[in-house]
Amino acid sequence: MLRLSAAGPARAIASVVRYRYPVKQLQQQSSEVRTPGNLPGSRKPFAPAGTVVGPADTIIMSAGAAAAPPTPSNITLTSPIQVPLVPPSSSPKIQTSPPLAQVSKASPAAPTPPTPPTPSAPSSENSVPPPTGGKKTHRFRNFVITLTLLTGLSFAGGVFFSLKSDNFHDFFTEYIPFGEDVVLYVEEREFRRRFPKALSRIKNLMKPESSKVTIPRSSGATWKVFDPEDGKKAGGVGTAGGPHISAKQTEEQGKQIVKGTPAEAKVIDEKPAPKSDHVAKVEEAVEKTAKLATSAKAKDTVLITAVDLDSVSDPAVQDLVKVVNSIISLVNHSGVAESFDTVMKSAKSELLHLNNQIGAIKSSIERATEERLKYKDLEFATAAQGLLTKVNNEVVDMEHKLREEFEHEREVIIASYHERLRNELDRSHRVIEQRLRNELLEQAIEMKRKFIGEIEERVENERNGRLGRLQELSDSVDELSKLSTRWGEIIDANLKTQHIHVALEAVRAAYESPEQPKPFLRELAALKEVADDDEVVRAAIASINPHAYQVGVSTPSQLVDRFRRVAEEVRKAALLPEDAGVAGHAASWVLSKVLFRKQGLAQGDDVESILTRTETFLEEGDVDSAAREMNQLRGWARRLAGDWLKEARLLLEVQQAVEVIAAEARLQSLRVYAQH
Amino acid sequence: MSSTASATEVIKRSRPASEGLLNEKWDHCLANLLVKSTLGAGFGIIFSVLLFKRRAFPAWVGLGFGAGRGYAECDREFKGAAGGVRKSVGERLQRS
Repeated sequence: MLRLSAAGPARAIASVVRYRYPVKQLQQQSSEVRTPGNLPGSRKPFAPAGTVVGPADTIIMSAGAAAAPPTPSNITLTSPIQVPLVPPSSSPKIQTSPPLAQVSKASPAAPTPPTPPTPSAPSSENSVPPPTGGKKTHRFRNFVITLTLLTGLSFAGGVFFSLKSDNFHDFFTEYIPFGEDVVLYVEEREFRRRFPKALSRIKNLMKPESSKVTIPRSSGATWKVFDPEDGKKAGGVGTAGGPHISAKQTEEQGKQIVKGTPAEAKVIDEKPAPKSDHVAKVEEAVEKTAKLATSAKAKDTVLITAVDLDSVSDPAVQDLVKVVNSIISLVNHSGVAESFDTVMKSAKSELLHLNNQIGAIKSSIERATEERLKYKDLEFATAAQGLLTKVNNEVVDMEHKLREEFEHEREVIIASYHERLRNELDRSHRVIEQRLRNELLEQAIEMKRKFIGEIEERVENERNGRLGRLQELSDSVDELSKLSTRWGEIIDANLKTQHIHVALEAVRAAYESPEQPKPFLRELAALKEVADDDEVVRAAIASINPHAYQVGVSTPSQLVDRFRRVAEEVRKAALLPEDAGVAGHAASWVLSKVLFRKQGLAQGDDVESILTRTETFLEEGDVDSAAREMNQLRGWARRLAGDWLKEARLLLEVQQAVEVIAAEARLQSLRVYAQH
Repeated sequence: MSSTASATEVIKRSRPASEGLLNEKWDHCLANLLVKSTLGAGFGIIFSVLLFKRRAFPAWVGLGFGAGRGYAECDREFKGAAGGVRKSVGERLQRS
């Protein structure tokens, strides 16, 4: 409804604007001519908008005075003051119409649309000047209109949006002028539309009573410290279940307010009185009414006097009196007191009698209780006396008993002490006896040992005398065996030397084999085995180059053969100068061809002489001398003869070692014979 | 036995006999001389063809250079190998 009303004017404005553009295109005259016929033309297509706007305008005029106050007064939504201003009898249809008017009034765009098409309309509030000028005026007017329209539209949009989102609501109410008012109003309309009953109820409640509610001065929060008396007085609202504590109470209070007299209206402030007080109050009220009644009806009726008991002790009786009194008052009111007079009287006498009887019973009961109390007191006193004496006797008995126990305990302790002492003495005696016995035993053992030693000594002496001869016999046997072993040694040594000789022969045969060099490692190993402990043999074997017995040594014939080849080469290099180059070598090679050969044991240190001598020695079989000759060579000649020399030396070493070993073997055999 | 024989074979092969030392050197020298002179002559011929319009002298010059180079290397080898040329070599020869 509200939205519709907000959209209605906007649509109307839009239509008007749309309509105005073709008008602007037309010429000024034609527009002026058309203006009179414009009204029906404009209203026809937008009939609903026109109808909506029409009544709004009229209501503005009529309810201008009534609607003016609420908008400026910035009252919150729940403020009930606004409620009575609206007529309560107004139907919902009429209630909805004012918002339309107010909305249309709140948005400044609303009143503008009807004016431009009808310049002759009587709307005085429009500030836009009538379009009498030429194009310039038109333009200005258009600008103003569009501006207002846009402003209005944006304002309406803002209002609408602020209803939707809280953030925008805050912004809108804060910064836009009149924004808060309008939004508040719209919200209020919404609320009223939703809950029409709630508002009417509040209104009904508040209307007649509002002036009579008085809030006491001390109610609410004050700076004062709490005073109990104050609290009692003001507790009606503050402590004893105020309206904020329970809704029921408020309802009751509301009822009281609705019903109540001015005297009872004060109950709000006061604490609910205790029952007796209340009853008294009621009584008072009854009396009051009775008085009133008497004053009112004194002339024609005989009244029954109320029951008046001066000494009423029992609450039941009291209640009964009250009931009777109320009945009496009722009867008095009813105006037929005479008829009930007798009954009442009898009732009263009955009541009196009852009261007296109750009093008598009470007094008799009191007396009986007093007597009983006295009796009891006496009884208790005698009992206490008896108890005291009993306790004293018991204490004395206890003392006697304890003393006896103490004596008995002491005797027992003394007896146990004596017994322990005796035990201790016994034990010490026993220990001493044991020690003495032990000493005796030791002495006996020692004597026995001495005796045995003596006997052994004697036996030994006897034995030695006989065994002396046996010892001599064994000595002679030992000597014999020694002799025999010595002979055995000699035989062993002989055997060994023989073995050495055999092994030596084997080695010699191995290295002197004429065919080709062959290793004689096994033979040498056997020789070493046979002469294991002989240092000379070991040293001789160690002096041999390992290469010799691993590969074998060349035989003398092989050496001679190789010497011939070596001699050729050496002769080639025989004439070389000290530091010869290619030319020197070539010269030496050429010139060596023309050298004369020497024969026999030639004299001289030159290469040719040495070679000749060596050859002669070799022919004689003297390898040792040949090697010595060759060792005299120098330079290239020595270099060329190096391998031959090495081989010769190997052979010589082996020969020497073998000779040494043979000499050693001979020496050994001789030594053995010399020893024995 | 066989293993020791093979060992001697290896030793003999690795180190030539001392009496063949000079002959070996001569072989090396002559081969080197031939290769060097051939190379020099070849370069000389190429140069003569490319640069000197097929004159004869560049070939001869190249040959001469190659032969000279071979001779120099040979000479150095003979001199270096000779006993007493260098101290270390001399000592070694003395020892052996």
